[in-house]
Amino acid sequence: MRPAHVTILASLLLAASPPGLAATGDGAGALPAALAARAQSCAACHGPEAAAEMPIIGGQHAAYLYLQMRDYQSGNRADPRMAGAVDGLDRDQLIALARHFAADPWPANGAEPAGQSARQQARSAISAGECSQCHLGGFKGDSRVPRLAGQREDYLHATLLAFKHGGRSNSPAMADLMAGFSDEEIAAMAAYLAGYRDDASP
Amino acid sequence: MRPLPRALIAALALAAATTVAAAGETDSSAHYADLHNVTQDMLDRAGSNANAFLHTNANYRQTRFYPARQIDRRNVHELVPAWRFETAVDESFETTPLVVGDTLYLTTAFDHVYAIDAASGKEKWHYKHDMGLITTYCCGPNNRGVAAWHDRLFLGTLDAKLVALDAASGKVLWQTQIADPELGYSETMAPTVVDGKVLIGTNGGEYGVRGFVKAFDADSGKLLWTFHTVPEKGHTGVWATHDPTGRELGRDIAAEKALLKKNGGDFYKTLGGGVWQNPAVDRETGLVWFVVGNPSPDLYGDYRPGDNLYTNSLVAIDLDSGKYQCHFQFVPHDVWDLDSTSPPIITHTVNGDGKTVKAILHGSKTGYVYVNDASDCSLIRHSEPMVAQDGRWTQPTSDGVRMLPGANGGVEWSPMAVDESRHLVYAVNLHQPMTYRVNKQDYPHGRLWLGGAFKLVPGAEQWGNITAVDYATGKIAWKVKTEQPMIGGVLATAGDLLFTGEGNGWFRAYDSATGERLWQYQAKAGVNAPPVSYNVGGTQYVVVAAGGNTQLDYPRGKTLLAFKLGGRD
Ligand code: HEC
Ligand code: HEC
Repeated sequence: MRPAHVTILASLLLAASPPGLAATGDGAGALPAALAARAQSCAACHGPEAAAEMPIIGGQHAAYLYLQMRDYQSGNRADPRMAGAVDGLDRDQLIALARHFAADPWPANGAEPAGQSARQQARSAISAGECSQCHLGGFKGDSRVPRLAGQREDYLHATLLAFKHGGRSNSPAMADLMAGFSDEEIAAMAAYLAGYRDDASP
Repeated sequence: MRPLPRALIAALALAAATTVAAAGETDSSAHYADLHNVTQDMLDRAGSNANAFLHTNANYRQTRFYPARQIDRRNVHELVPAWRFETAVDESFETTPLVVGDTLYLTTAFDHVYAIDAASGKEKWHYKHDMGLITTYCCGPNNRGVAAWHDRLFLGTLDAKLVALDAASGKVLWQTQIADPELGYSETMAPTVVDGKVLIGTNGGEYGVRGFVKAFDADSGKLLWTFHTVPEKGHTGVWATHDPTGRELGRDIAAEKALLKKNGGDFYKTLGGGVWQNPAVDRETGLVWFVVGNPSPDLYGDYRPGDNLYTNSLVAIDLDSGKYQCHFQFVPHDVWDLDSTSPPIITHTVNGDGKTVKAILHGSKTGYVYVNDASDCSLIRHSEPMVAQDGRWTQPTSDGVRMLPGANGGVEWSPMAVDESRHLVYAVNLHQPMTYRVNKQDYPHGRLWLGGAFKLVPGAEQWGNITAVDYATGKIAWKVKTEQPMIGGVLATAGDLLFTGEGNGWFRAYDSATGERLWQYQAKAGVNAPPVSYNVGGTQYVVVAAGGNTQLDYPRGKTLLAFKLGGRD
C-alpha cells in the first residue's frame, strides 16, 4: 500500500523541484559555494526520492535542524549516516545549512489521513500527552520544536519508538513522555500525524 | 483602615471620568500636557482613572478592578459588539491590552504589537518582532502585553529580549538581550515600569534556568540590577515537613540531607524559579512583590535537596536596589509543578488579631488563595481549597501516581481581581487529574527538563470554576462551575460585575456579589485572556482577546473583541 504513495509522491516532488534540495537556492536559504555542494549531498537521503524512513528536512524549523545536526556531531543523537554527513562543519556552517533547508516549502508527503480507528486512538493519546502544548496548533512546531504534521510516517514511527526504548536520547522530555504510551498508540500517532491536514480538525 | 465604601468609590470614579471626558472635548492639554505621554503620576493614579487602562493588571496594586459603572449589573444584558480587530497571528492569545488616551496597544503570540484606535478598532501601526534563531519556551508562543511609560512601550520577547518601541510609530528605540534563549530563557510576561525602571522576570523553570527579576533603565535600556530568585547560599531553607495549609509533604529529609552532603549545593545555578507575571509595586513602601515559579527539574527532586528557596514563594525586594526584603514559601521542595504564577495583589484586610493591615493576596496552582502580611511576608490565613485535593503531595513514582490538582493548577497564570468593598477576591481554577511519572535526568543544557512526565488521566472528567473568596475570613463566598478548566483571568468592575472567558468560546459577565450569570457572548475561539475596560468619548468599552490557548489546546483564533452598551456611539 505505502510504496505506491511513495512513488506518486516522488514524481510530484520531482516536478515541483524544491529549491533547497535541488539547487543552491537564494534569499533566506542562500549558501556560500562550498556549503552549497555539501547541501547537495543531503538530497541523496533526504531528497524527493528518499526512502520512506528518512525524515523530511526541507521546510522544518531552522533552530530544530541546527540542534539535531549539532547533536549528531556530538553523538548526543546517535546515527552513523548523519554523523558522517555533518562531520567537520562548524557552528556557523550548521546554522547556514539549517536556515537553507528551513527556507524550503514543506513538501507533500503523499500520506492519506489515518483511518478511523487509528485516528480515534491517536487523538486520545495526543490529548493525554498534550502534544500541541509544545508542537502547537496544527502540529506545525516553532523554533526548536519540530513540525510533525505531514512528516513521513515510517520516520515518525521509528523516532517515537526510539524515544521510548532509548535509541534516541537527545530529548529526555520526549523520551519520558513516550515511555507512558503503548507501541500501538505510538503507531496510531505516527499515522495520524503523517496524514494530518490543517483542515481536518485535530 | 477599612476599605472605602462602594458609593464613595463610584462617586470618585465618576468625577474622574467626567473631568477627563470633558477635557477631551475641548483640549486634552488643559489637564494633561499630552494624554499619550504616560507620566509617573498617571501610572500612580491609574486605579481611579476610568478613561484608560495603563497597567496589565489595572494598577500597581494589581487589583484588576475597573472603577466606573456605565455598564452595570442592571444593563449588562444590553452589551453588544462595538468592533472587532483581526490580528495576523492565529495562535494562543493570553494578552492584556493597554489603553492610553484614545489608543489601544495589543500584543499577540510571536511578539507582534498593534496600536489600534480604541473607539473604532482601526489599526494605527503594526510591529513584528524580528525573532532570533532559537527560542525556548514551554506552554505556547505567548505574549501577555506591553508596559507604557512616557512616549514609549516595552515588550519582552520569546528570544529573551527587551524592546522599547516609540508609542506613536511602533519604531524600535532600543533593544537589549535579557538572557540566553538557547539555555531556556524566554519572555512572555508584560514588563512593569516604575520610576524609570523597567521590571521584568523570566520563564524557564522547565529548562533549568536560574530565575531572576531585572530592572532596566527605561531611557537607555541599561541593566540597573538583577535579583536572583535562587540565592547562592540559603536555598535549602528550613527543611519544611509540611506546607502552610498543614499538609504533610511526604519528604524524606534525611535522604535529602545525605544527597546534599554527597553532591554539594551547586545546583542553584540550574534550580529554575521563573517569574512569569507582573510584580505588584507598593508605592508607599517602595517594595516590589512577585511570586516565583517551580524548581527545575519539575518532578525529579533528588537533583535539588532542600526547600529550593525562593521557588514557589512570594518575595518582596526593594525597588531602588533590588535587595531582598522577605519571602514566604507556599510549596517547599516542589515535585508536582504546583507553583506560583498568578500575579500578587496588594490590599488591606484584618489579621488574626482583628487589626487592619496591608496584605498580599496570591492564588496558587495548589488551588488556595494565600493572604500574607506585607510587613514581614508571614501568612495571615489561607482560603478554603477552591478545587478538590485528591492525593495532593503524593510523591511521584516511576510507575506513575494520580494527582489532583494537576500540573496546571488550581490557579494557573490567570490574574485574579478584587472587589475591596466586599473583600472578595475572584480566581479561576482548573480541575484536571494527572498522572505523574518521575525519572532521573541530568541537566540537558537548555532542553526541556521535567525529570519525568505529566499526563492527563485519559477519560477522567475535567472542569473548571470561578471562585469568590472572602479574604477577610478565607471562606468561599460563591463558586460557579464551568464546563472546561479555566485559564485567562478576570476583571471586576464598580458596576458589580465580573468578566471572564472560557476555552469553549463563551465570554461571560457575572454578578460579582452572587456569581449569577448575567450576559454571554460566543466568540468562536477560546477566550483565555484577561478582559479590560476603559472609557473613550463617554462610552465604556469592555475588551478581550479571543484566540484560544496552547497549553490547554483551546480553539485558536486571532481576534480582539470590543463591547459596549447597545445604542451608544
Ligand atoms: C546517508 C544518508 C544521509 C545523508 C547523506 C544525510 N542524512 Fe540526514 N538523516 C539521515 C537519517 C537516516 C536520519 C534519521 C536518523 C535518526 O533516526 O536519528 C537523518 C536525520 C537528519 C536530521 C534530523 C531530522 C529530524 O526530523 O529530526 C537532520 C536535521 C538531517 N538529517 C540533516 C541532514 C543534512 C543537512 C544533510 C546534508 C549535510 C544530511 N542530513 C545528510 C540520513 C542522511
Ligand atoms: C513539553 C513539550 C513537548 C510535548 C508535550 C511533546 N513534545 Fe514532541 N518534541 C518536543 C521537543 C522540544 C522536541 C525536539 C526534541 C529535540 O530537540 O531533539 C520534540 C520532538 C518530537 C518528535 C521528533 C520529530 C522529528 O522530526 O524527529 C516527535 C515525533 C514528537 N516530538 C512527537 C510528540 C508527540 C506525539 C507528543 C504528544 C504525545 C509530543 N511530541 C509532545 C517537545 C514536546
